[in-house]
Amino acid sequence: MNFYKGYYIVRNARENIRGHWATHLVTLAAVGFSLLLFAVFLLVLTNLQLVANRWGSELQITAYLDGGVSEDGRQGLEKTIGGWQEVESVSFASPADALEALKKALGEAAHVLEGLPENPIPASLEVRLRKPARNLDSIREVADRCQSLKGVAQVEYGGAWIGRFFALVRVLRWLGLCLGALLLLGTVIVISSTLTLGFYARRDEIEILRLVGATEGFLRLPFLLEGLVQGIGGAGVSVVLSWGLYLFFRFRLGESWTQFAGWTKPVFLSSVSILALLLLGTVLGIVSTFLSFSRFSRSAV
Amino acid sequence: MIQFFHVSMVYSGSTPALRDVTLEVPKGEFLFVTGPSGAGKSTILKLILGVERATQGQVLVNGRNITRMAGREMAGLRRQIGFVFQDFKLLPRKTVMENVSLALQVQGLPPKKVLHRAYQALRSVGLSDKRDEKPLRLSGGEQQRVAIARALVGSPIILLADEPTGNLDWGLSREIMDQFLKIHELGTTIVVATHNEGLIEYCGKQRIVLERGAVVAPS
Repeated sequence: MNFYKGYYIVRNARENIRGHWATHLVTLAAVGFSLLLFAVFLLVLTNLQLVANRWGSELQITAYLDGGVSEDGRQGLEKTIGGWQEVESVSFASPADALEALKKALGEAAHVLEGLPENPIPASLEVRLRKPARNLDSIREVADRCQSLKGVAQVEYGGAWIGRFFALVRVLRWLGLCLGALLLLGTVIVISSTLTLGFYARRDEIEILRLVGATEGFLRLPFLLEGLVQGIGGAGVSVVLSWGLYLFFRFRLGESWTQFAGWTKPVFLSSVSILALLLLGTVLGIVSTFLSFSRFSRSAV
Repeated sequence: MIQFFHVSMVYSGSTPALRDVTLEVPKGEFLFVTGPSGAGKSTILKLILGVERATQGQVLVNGRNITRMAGREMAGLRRQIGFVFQDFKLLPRKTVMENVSLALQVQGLPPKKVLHRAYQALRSVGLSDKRDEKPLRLSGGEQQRVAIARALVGSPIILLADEPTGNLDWGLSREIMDQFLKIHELGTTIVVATHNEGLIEYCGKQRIVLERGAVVAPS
């Protein structure tokens, strides 16, 4: 294709968008809002995933020892656990240390512990994992290994509730994928319907252009450009709107979020996610255009 | 220039539009295709332009068999053929100049060249002063002259016209035919489908007569 053909194709697309600007604007808004729902879902999921990872990384394993474990036995356990590659450090907490720490944590309410006839807290080993191993699967595995050691009475790592949180994030991710697929299908239908209307509105022009020797590429590329403008434009609108919502959320609910997540601030979509959204818009534009080509070809040509 | 070999054409679910038509239009010929309504006149033009495909037989245009021609090749052939229809087929939202320019834009010519050649084509049909008008503001005769300008702007080797004066009075019809005769003098092969006997007599050119899809004269 020579340069001037490209020029006429772009000009035809521009004229068609100008000539039917209201239809294109409504389509752009519809695509923008569909992708906005997708972007917001992605945003929520990204932040929940971050929270889950953060909580997971803060977990440490507490291995409570049997009452009858000797000093040598305890040191042996420390050495065994400390030798595992996932483990960063192992520290011993004597019953007295643990009681002291509990009193500190209870603050003014610590007096409830004063009436105890004897210290009920067993000795324990606090196991801290290396960074790469600070995830639920590794924690669970190391905890199981600790539990199987002789001299260990019980192991705790708060796994039950964080496991449920991870499961919730997984469910949300699948829900998002299903919802996203439906929304994307809707978006394709909206764009391709607008383009098909455009085909019908320009039916006479297409017929005349064919008769004077226009190639199929010359006829169809303006529509492809229109589809791309709607897809990428809609994705751009969704990114801008979700950025606005994100700022609003941060301004109005930032503190509540920090209390909930123990995290400094919520984050916006990563540049990769934004690029992926724009790419998604591009793909939607292309798919919609080809769908409308086939619909128009079946019914009109 | 144009050859039909035993061409038959049947539109789906109807009686044949053409039956075993064999004809030859030499280069530089001016031929009228005449006959009553439904005789198959328009079908012959549509087959030459590649808008319809022959059900049987072969159609050759400028030495190339177009029976199975498609895509780019067909587009290239159509650039060598100008056409004029009874209903003008002009785009009402575009100006006269833009309508004429379409035929050059599809060839990818530079915009300046397109404007220059479209202006020349409009001048040759006496409408250069109406170039910025919309077609619906022109008379029927003027609209048909715009269609002729669009047909000529690409310097076609063949000009096809389907009832080009069907919507015009006798005076305007003669004007249009004078344009065609001028174009013919420049060496363009012309095929005009019409049932207007007066027009054929006025031009004094060759004719073939169709009846129910078959050539009945000359036999």
